[in-house]
Amino acid sequence: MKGDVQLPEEAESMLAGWPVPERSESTWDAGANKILDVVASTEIGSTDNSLLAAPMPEEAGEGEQVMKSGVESKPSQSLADLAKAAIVEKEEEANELVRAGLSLAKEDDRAPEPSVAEAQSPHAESRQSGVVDIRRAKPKTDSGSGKTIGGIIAVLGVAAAVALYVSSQQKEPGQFAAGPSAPVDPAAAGLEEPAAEPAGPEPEKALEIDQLPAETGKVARATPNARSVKKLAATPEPVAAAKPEPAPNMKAEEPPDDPEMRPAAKDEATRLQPATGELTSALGAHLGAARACVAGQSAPSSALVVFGADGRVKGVTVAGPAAGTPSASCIRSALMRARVKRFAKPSFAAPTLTIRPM
Amino acid sequence: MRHRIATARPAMPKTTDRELVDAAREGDGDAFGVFVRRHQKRIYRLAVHMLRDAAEAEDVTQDAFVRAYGALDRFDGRSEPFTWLYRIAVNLSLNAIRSRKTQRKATTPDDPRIEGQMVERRASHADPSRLSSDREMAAALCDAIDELSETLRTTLVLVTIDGLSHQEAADVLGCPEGTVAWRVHEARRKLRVALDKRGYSPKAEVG
Repeated sequence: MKGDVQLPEEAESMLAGWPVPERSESTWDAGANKILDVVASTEIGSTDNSLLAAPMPEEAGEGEQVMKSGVESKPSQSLADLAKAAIVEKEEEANELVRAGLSLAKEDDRAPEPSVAEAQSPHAESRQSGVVDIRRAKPKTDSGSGKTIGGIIAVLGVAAAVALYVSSQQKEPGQFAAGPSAPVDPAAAGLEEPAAEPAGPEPEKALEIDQLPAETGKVARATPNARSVKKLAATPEPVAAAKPEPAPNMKAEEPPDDPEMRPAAKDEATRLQPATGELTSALGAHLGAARACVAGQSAPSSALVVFGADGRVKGVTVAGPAAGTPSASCIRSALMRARVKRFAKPSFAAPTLTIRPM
Repeated sequence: MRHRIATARPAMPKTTDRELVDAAREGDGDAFGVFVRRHQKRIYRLAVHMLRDAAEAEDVTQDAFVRAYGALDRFDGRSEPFTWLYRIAVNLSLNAIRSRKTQRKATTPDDPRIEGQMVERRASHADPSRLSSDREMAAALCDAIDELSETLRTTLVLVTIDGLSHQEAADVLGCPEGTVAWRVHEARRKLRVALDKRGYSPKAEVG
């Protein structure tokens, strides 16, 4: 087999047709007889096991070729291990969300519909945010980016609410005096002319009021104090006040002009590679079909699945007993159906799947 | 358990290797004799390419069959008997190489591999200058092969010279088929570099 490296023609012909060293037939016969003489005095079972072991050491660079991605540095995990880890992770997450939901429900009287509750309860905002969080969290696969997005939205909401409050504070200056900081001097906050201020800087000043760092972008990324953000988001009065009369320059629900204020979109576009949980669910969905392909075989096979940047499977390499058999193409077609979300890398090789016979 | 082994050439041409091994395990000495004669030449060629020494290759060939016979009770039938035999021969060859007191660096004029090439070429053309250039080419190729690591060299010999499929070579070497493909590619790439250094390149030949 020539492969894609072309050698000189003469070398190719020598390699492909290297003859058995010349010996006469009688020499071969003599050799065979000699072997059989020795064999006649040999006992079956006398050979050492070491001679039956796989002989060659791994060649340098061989592993890199087989797993050419960031995954190869991690210890090899079977899909079962990944699935168990993902299940435990999801269970913990779900339990946490359920606990949060229950605590919110205890605080409030039971309301039949969220929309009714919004209108009736003074804690409508807090309950609404709790319900939405739970529902949003369920389908997500990448919990890290989800939390970031949630944090950003909360901070934006707080910023908008506080900005609205500050703008209305000129008319009712004493209303915010019960807050955590000292009474706000609008002049010190640079808000003498709120109507003339552009939409961007206002949230920054508003955050300063609540003793948050001055740069909102940094807050969005680095703020560890999620509780204070949550409390602010749940504060009903300013938000309720803001709803009926939104200022024309306040676009709280739209992403701001500052690109640093839109990390959610940025994360989505530059996500380097699929998350482990996502891989687990994407491949796990088709593992049953792949296992059916090797039904009846005694030893497990393995498959290396490579995803393209568009989230589709670019290739599947099957190794083990199934390799080179119709089972390999069956496995390939089963795993080719796996899909993940788009990512930035040109391709990504998932950890090797162990396909055990059913 | 000892069996009488027939030394005459038995007439069992259509029997598969698996049947021969099963029969030998059951005590049929003739069957193992057929198995030896069927694979003796290929095992010897493999040993010659591994060891670069005719006498050592003959010893390893004999030992390979004897050890295979001694391990008949552990042949589980998952692979073909000849790949199992090859594995034993490769292991014995590597043991012989590693037990040498001095490592051979360059190809010697009496290298059995070159002689094998030249016997065939002498039969096909008698032009002395061409035979001379063929010998140089064979020597350069042998030198290039000898520069490869044990792993790459063994894989190249099994696949390119001996004609085993990637799957068969994978069975012999106990590695995935893809690994065999990569090793062959890598071995050929290194061969090309080594031959380029010696003035042999595809372009030069075309020109």
